Amino acid sequence: MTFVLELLVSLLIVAGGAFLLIGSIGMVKLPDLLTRLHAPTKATTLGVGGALAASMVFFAGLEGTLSIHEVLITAFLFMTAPISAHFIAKAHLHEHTELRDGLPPTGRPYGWSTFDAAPGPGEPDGEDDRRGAHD
Amino acid sequence: VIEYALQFGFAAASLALLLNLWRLLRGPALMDRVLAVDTMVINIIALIILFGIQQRSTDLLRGRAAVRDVRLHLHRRLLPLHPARRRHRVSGGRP
Repeated sequence: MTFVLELLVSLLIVAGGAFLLIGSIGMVKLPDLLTRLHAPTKATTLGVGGALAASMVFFAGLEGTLSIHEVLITAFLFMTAPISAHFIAKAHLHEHTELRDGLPPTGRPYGWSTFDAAPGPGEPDGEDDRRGAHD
Repeated sequence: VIEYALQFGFAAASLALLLNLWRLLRGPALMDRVLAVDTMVINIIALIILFGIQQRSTDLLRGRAAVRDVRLHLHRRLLPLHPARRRHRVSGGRP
């Protein structure tokens, strides 16, 4: 294993650890859940990506073969992390009904997608008074 | 160099896990706790990856060197007792 490769692995590990730490600090320090959601979903995912890249480079330099496990972990992690963040945000919006009052009008015949049902295929205009039925 | 980088990586990930635990216990809403557990899972994945790198690198640095030393030692110790060598010595000493 050459020194350049070792240095690259070390650099990736340090960058990944820094991103993990920054993400968790952001999750503790930020004031609101919707802002708190940003830190782990972006910084922490990037930190794990750095560690995975370090592992890939390390084992590629060690054995001369490209290991596919890290690619799979990266793919599935990058697929599931935004989905979980999206649904955490939606659940938070459903828990706090007072957030609906500050919403601007959609400019369309139907309401906001998180709070009002999507218009069905048979009724393209939707129902505008559905918003009042919820409250 | 990798050793020190791994030390830093372990320290950062462990500190991040502690911060997540603080948010998990403290979190005012349920969604804060869900988010904390989600982040803890990602941090634990990172810890496992770093652990894998550490296992292989210490295996290289320490394990193989130790195996080589033991084999050298045994080789030096057991060489005089080797049957072919002993027979040679006996036959050469007393004809």
